[in-house]
Amino acid sequence: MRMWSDIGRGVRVANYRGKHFWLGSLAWLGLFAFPILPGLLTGAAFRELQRHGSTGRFYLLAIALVISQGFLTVGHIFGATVYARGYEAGLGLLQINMVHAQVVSGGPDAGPRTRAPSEAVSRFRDDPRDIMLFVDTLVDVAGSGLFGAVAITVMFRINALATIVGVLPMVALTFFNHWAGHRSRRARAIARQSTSEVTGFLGAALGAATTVKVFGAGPAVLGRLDQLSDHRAKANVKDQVITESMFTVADTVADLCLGLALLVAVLGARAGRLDAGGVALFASYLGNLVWLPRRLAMLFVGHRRFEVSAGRMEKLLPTRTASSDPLMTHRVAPILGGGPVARPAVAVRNPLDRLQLVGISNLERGLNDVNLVLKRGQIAIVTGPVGSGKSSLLQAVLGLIPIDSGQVRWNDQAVADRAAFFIPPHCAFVPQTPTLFAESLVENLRLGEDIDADDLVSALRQSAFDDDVARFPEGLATRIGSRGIRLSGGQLQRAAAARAFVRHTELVVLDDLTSALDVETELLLWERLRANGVTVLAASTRPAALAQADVILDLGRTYD
Amino acid sequence: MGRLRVIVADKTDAMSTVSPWPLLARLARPHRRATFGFAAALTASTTVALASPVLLGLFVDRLKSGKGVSALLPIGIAYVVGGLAATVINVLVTWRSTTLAWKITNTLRTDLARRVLDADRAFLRDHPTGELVSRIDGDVSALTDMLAMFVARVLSVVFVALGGVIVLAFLAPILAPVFLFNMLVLAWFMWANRSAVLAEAEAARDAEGELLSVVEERLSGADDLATLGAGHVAVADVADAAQLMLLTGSATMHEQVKVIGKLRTLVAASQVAMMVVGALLLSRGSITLGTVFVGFRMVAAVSGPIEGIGWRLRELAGAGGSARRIATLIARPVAEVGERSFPAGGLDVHLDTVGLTYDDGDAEVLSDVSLRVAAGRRLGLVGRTGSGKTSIARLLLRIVPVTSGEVRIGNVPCDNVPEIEFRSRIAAVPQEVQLFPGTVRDNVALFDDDVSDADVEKALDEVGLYDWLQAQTNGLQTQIATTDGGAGLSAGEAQLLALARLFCRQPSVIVLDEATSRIDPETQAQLEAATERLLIGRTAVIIAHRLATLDRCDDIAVLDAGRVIEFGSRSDLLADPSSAFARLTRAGSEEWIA
Repeated sequence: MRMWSDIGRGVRVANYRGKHFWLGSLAWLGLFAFPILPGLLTGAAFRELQRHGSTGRFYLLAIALVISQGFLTVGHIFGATVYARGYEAGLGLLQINMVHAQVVSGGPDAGPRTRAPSEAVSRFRDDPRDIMLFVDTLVDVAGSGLFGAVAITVMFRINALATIVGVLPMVALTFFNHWAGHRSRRARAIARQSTSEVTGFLGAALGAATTVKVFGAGPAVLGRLDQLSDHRAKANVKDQVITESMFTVADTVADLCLGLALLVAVLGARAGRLDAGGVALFASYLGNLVWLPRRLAMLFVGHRRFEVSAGRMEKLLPTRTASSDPLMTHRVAPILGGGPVARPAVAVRNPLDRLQLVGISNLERGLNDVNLVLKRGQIAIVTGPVGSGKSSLLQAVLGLIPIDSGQVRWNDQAVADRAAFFIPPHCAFVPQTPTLFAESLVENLRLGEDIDADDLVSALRQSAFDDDVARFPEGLATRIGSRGIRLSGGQLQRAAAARAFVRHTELVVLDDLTSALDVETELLLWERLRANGVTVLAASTRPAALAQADVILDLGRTYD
Repeated sequence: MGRLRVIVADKTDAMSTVSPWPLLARLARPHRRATFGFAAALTASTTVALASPVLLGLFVDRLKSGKGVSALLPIGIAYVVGGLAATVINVLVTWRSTTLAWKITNTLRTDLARRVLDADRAFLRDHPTGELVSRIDGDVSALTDMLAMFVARVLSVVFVALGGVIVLAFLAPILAPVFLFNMLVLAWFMWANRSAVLAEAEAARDAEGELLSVVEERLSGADDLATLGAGHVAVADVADAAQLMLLTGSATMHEQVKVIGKLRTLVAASQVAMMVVGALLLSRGSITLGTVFVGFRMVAAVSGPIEGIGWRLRELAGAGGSARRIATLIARPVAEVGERSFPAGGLDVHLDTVGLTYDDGDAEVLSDVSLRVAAGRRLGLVGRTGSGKTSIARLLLRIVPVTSGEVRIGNVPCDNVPEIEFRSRIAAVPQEVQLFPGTVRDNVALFDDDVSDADVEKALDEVGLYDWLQAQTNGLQTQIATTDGGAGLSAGEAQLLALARLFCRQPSVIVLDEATSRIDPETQAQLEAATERLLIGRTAVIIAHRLATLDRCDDIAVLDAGRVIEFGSRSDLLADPSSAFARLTRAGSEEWIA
């Protein structure tokens, strides 16, 4: 059954920082079972009160009731905190597994690259929670089950018939919860849809605020917003009523159960055995027992969410096989005392003599039988109009997109895993719109490598970025903002170029590097590349670039 | 590279002391019926909640006195019926409270949207759409949840507690003050701990925001990272962020459980206090065992809901922040409106020594600009990027106010004309087409129900979209998807659709910013013909991006660095070979109309 294998997967995540998780779970288990004790104590206290009045024994029982709750509180605080750590560590594992699959350079760990990063981010926020909530529900069910087993045994021994009749409505409650869970899913889907209609409309209207204003369409737009809001309110009220009813019904079913149990106790021949203590105990136990059906229902709802969320997350990961589960694979990371993330072994440098593209094709991206030969120290420029496949060719060479047929040869040897090979020390890439990260400039250049200051300076010079950096008040320590937003387009490109050059790779691949540069800066950059004898494969349409080219590849035609 | 970014975005708002509560009270006023319904449901649920311990107490007494089945049975039945009724009533309470909450906050949402749509350009520039949507929708929704769940729960607990005092006052006058004291202690505890989880919960939320932004950046830069073999650095960055989330998340849980644990201990102490005082009274014979039981169970009747509130404390904290941000948005002043109206018929346009500065201290964008367009004539604006063409369009459309000088249309100062009147006479063809999620009709009539379907069809016919409309399965009711250019709408068709908006309105003055997007020649010809039809008999100010468009203008103004360097009729300027306009026409330079 899928439920069992998914429970196994849940346990695997829980095991990531298992010590915390299982210790915490044990504490929760105790917490769930705890209400057995106050039930017994109040029962005993009222029985004592009924039979002998307010004796010393009665006061002792009363004091024990408060003290036991105090002890429980201490245990609860400790257990819940430890558990929360294990739980959050599980979230962390799922998150780093997804990131790892997205940023790894080729190899079996690489997942299909997402083209919609901002949409993929929601995979990181909500979906891991659904996985961990399912695991959470397992603990809940175990705890409630433990309590239920003991409570029913105790009640059974007091009055068997009342217990059976008292527990009966819970069976009905289980079915109700199942039904409500199903309805709630549907209602929630409709509510979410109506909500996104409101936010979508609001976003469009505010984004076009000037258009709305200029056309005097404000009142009409607000009228439409009102309509959409009304619709949404109805859908959401329905959703909330169904969801909340699962809780309120549980509370009131507890009363119903108690009422039925009392009725049976009265009608049954053994009514005499149910005293004030028994009533107090039944009231306490039945009040807690109603949560078991609710949690059982949650287990099924939770499992459904688990499947959906895991499925969504796995779209970012390599395919799961019988032997490997990339989403749940334990990984060394600085989470809850784990070690630092290991730096993958750097390949032995294989100096470039000749790079050959042989019959590269990716028809979907407009590449058809592309050939090119590039020797050490040469500059090759791929040119052609917009949409002719310049960027696609570079991405195909680097293994960022697949090829239908053809080979990339490094010194006459075909490169098998291009994504894994075309990284430093063999190759460095500057994408058309490079991404830098919200840290300092120097951290962006280093990206985790130890690079000495002289190298940094010469890379900045080579990318014609040295003058700009000299003008920054904080120089290389300048924080460049999220995605390098504080840099201009041209500065961003040259910073990314410096990030590539500083790695002293055999080959440098540049995608339209100079598109945001003025003519003088561009000339300077090409001259410096030429002077340093760097081997370059670049896409560009600019005259300054073509003037420097040893090899030009235009729409599939090669000139020498 | 592990680091913590300081999140300062909402600092100014957090410091604001504007209180949201009067606002909520004001918003609830129009929804009197919904409020009444909620109050009624709440009263019913309180009654049932109070009945349950009383019935149990009665049962215990009769049980103890050894009365027969005939005495116990009615109580048992009443208890079961009460339980069933409570189920229905409590669902009713949820229904009424969520309905009321949604009504109140929908009013608020529309009110906020109105303020933002009325806001000036500087406000819109400083507040990205995403942020505004998150305020108008995210913050308001947080408030909805708080009202629906939190306020309803608090009220219900307060009702039951007060009702409990009254019931006990009848049963055992000495137990009532003890119960009241216990309730006050619980209330004090909740009040004292209302912000116990706040700091941790906010740190956890910031940590989540940080994690998501780190992830988003790393995913956007996945190509960069993979090709530089730096993936492990990204994984480490995410792990650092996740560890921070772990710490803040478990700290939140720690604080949360501390509050709940203390609360439970306090509840247990309250129950025992009721038991002990009850037992003392019992031993003196002043109350029955059943009444002791009522006192004991009465605490249980409120403890469950109170614990529910305890678990939701952090949501309350979040909603407080939302309410404050909303209150600051609402505190924005609303612009004053004039009362003059335009004369009927054609309107002339006159910019009189106009100067414009966008922000205090910035350089002037327009200086001493004087232009006059007679009714029915067309003025073409020419100048490089940044010369001030768009600013003139903005002034004419009253998107920005003049800094000095005056804009008069039909000899009426623009500032004195009410918004509705102004917009019905002065219209724009913006450079960028903005489509709305909705139907074709919605997009042409711009949601105005007063525009008839026939008018919309006629307008679409005028711009040459008649055949296109016939090809749509649902005609005017066809949905337009706004992502990725819209369903079935090319860039050119979108331009035509936007142009149709003006045919629905029949304005007197048109400010046209020509589209620059690439359009196929056929659609381009269609667009030009439709524009020509639109401009007939109307006063027009045109920012041209094609030299051919200038050929159809009557007057030309050449702008440079915010000043008019040449202004005259097109024929006069062309006749003078030394004029700037004549020179750039000869050169065919597109740079001047960028």
